Amino acid sequence: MRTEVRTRWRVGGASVRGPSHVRSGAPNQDAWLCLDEDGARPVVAAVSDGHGAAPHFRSHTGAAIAVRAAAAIMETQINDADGADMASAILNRWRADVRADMAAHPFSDAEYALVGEPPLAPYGATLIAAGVNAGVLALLQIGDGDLLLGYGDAPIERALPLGPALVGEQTFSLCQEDALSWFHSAVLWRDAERPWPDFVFMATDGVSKSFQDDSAFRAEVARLRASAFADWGRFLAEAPDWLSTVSSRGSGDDATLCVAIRTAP
Amino acid sequence: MTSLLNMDQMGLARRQLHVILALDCSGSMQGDRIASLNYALRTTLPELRKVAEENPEIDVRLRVLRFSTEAEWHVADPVPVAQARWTDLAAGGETSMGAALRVIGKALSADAMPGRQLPPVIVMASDGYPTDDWEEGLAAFFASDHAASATRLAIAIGGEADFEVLERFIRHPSLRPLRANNASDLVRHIKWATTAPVKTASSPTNAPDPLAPLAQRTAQEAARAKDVSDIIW
Repeated sequence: MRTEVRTRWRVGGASVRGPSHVRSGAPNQDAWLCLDEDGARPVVAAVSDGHGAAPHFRSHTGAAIAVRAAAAIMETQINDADGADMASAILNRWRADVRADMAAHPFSDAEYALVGEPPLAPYGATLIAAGVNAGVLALLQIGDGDLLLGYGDAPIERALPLGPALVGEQTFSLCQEDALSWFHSAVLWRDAERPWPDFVFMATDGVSKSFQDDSAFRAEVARLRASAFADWGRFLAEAPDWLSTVSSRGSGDDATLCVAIRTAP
Repeated sequence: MTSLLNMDQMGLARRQLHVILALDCSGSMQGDRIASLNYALRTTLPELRKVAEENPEIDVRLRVLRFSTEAEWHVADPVPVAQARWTDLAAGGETSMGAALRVIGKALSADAMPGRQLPPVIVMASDGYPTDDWEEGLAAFFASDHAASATRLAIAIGGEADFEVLERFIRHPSLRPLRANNASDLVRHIKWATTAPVKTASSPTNAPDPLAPLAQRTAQEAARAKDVSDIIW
């Protein structure tokens, strides 16, 4: 699946189901959403990775709710951007929408047997989101996955600090009672004194975990950046096959990316 | 423009999962115990290969360390499980568990395990009390880069195994050493301890304790062991 929306920023994404989920019959537990710039509305991109373990049996729904919540809040609040406020609003929206989904689709007996703590664990998911307009770039992340920025010819940079290291496949999650404290956020205000990003890359961890190390991953993101600027349409057309190859030769996990490039000053 | 799909130089790699077996080959293991241990490993390898085949996104590697008076690698290099073949161990000598822990600690350094790794799995099987400075060995072990994140499991062979030392090695509030009271127990525990962590290794989770399912199994085995009356070892 892929899509494209045209703007001063071009933004698009793609997602593929991981080979391990194809084998097990599990759905693609990632979700992504991109919104075009439209009048006062900023460009928005979000990816979310639903946890795969058994206690998170509705995480694909949790991921879909997460990207919608992020888009809805960023769309309306980017100009008041305070990262912590935005994270709080997204988290509240996610929790409300998850509870509404639980009410609309009660757990079966078999699902109840898997429910533990925290109560929203069945919907557990990560979230990375970015919103940008002419003067503001807002960035948010909870849990694993990668959010990188590019500035012209300069090396690709990680946009937010890495959280504390967790063991193995553990990740911070929207489903935690204390989720708000595990968000990282940043708001960049545009001014003439400092460079303004022209490239935003975000991906679920199924992408970076397919590379032998962080250096190889960043080198490939730089190559993606060059491809996106050279021929955006071809980049988007090839993105699903790129993701499929990455996942099948690497993590085996669902793999999802969103990319935005700035095509005008 | 170069196609995005020209991916020869991408640096893709499956994540490695190292399974390290540390096996007591001291004199008290002679006879039925070492024979059962060898049988257990011979029958476990095909099952481990099957689990690895079912999880092809994980590059499962096996290493085996034997310890008696000395600690030395029986399978020195991390060998892909598809290529692993079992060569029988022999028993005799002291129980240098401290030395074994130091050797494993070196194998868990960042230099020894480059690239993206899943938490290694370490299975310690022993039937007696360490005869060397195991506390110093344990400290050296936990000082290594990947020791704390490793899934550490232990099998206490027979009634004279040092349960407390094995619990200190596991260092988990609810994971317990598995008690092998006879050959049948030993085979079952070796198979489970080597394959179960591989099955669960690649599922993302926010569970407060991702080892809880393994701990639950060790609790069930502990309850089962109490009910067993035919203790042979």
